[in-house]
Amino acid sequence: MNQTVADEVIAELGSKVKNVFVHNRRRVYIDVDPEDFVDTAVYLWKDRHARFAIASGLETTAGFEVVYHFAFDRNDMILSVRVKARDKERPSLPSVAGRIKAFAFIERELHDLLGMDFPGHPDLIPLLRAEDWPEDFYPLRRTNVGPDGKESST
Amino acid sequence: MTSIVPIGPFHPLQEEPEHFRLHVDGETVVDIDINIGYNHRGIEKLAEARTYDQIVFLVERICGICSTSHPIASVNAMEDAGNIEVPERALYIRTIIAELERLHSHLLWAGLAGHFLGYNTVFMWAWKYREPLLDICEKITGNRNHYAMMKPGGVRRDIKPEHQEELIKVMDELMPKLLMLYNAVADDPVLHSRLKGVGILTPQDIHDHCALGPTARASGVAIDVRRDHPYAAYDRVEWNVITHPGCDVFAKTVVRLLECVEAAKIVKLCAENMPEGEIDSKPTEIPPAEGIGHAEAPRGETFHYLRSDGTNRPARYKARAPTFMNITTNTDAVIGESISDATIILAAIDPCYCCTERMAVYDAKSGEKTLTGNDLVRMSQQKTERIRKEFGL
Repeated sequence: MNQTVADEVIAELGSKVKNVFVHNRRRVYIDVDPEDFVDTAVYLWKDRHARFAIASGLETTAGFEVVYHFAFDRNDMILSVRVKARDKERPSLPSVAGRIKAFAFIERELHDLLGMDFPGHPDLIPLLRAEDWPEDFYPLRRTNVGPDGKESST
Repeated sequence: MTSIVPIGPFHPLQEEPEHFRLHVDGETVVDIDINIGYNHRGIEKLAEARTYDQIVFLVERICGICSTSHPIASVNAMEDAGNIEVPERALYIRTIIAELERLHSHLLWAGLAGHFLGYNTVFMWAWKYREPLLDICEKITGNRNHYAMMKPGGVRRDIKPEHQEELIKVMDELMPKLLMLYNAVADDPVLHSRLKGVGILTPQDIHDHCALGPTARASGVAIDVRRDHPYAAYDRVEWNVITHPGCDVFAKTVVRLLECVEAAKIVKLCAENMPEGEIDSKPTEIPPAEGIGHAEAPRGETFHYLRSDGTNRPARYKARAPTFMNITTNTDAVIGESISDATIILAAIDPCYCCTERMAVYDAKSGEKTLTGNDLVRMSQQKTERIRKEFGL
């Protein structure tokens, strides 16, 4: 049942899906290119009635990526769409907030904490960022220059 | 002339500081700005420097009221990443603690909603019935809140046979009181005229904002993680997902009160049918993997994601509380409504938002304070009183 829904979605998305990983019957991960992501998100949310749960952004040794989690509540399945930003220095992904309201806050949060840019966002103002934080200080990045000028990495 | 009503951001009763700026024209709300981030604690970043066992304690501190929903989502994520089996008995114990929490959280909200509306009897009843629940939580876990019961692979403490019996007794005593509270709300003509048609959220609004929990279910959207993505022992006992087609604040009240009845039913069934056996499968490692865990907190789905690199701490940890998705619905719910209804509409998503003390009306031009927080609560209570008189009550 679950497999069928995931299979259907992946078949429908066709060449947009670059990679598929099935962790178990309730968790499926797919890779999508940044330029295909807005269409993918709108398709999942509008046509498949998937609920956008949240997005997790992270920095790996290979660069920046955001994992968007879509819940299929009728099928007990979460489809996570992994999108990798192309630019490692100034990471950026297309904004979905203009099409789907639910993306507005999380894109602002990723902008604050990871320094991910979302061109096209209707109102990309700070959400969590304190006013006195230094520019270019993004706490969820691996290497940061702290307010004291020292470089720290985690 | 448009005035701005700032609400928030801080109050000792809130665990989630929020700041609303209501733009008010006469009595009508014409726009709203929502600001959060006043108390960002960097828990996701902290989690990267904690072991998996420590993370469960850390995420328990995210919320002071629904403190056990985050640990459950957290252990679900760890168990998903590591394919860890959990003993049956532990699943039942997790369900009992989660439902006790839902009961006391919903009753807390019902009491506050009563106070905002000038029904202080409801406030006192609801909080009185909440006390035996906190007492039984303390007996089982050692604490009225922050239970520290969850761990990857099981639970930390067993429920003793005498407490199992007491749970059944407390639920039997609570049930008629919950039904009485529900009937008092459902039959009250003043509450009907005060709450019906107020703060409308259509099913499309719910879909647009991807709203969760009672906020969605009160708009007839039947989503509930407990049923849709079963965890703990929810698929082992009989219970119902409560929905209401009303889309207004009245519907949210009814949904929460009836969910209390269902929660009491679940606790009793679990206490009666709990199997004997181990409570912990004692997992030793989480391999390199990704894990997702979610749980139905009193306010909606709590969502946790982790990425493990095979060490004893995650490379990335993400936690999302339900209010993060629900809070933006206020833009659709409150615009066009009257200022005396704003308090209850903003409180209707139950954002642990109780900060009437910090409300004040400023004249947008001069910045002068014209109304205090107490004035706003009084306006809300006076409206109820007016309706009461019209009904001859």
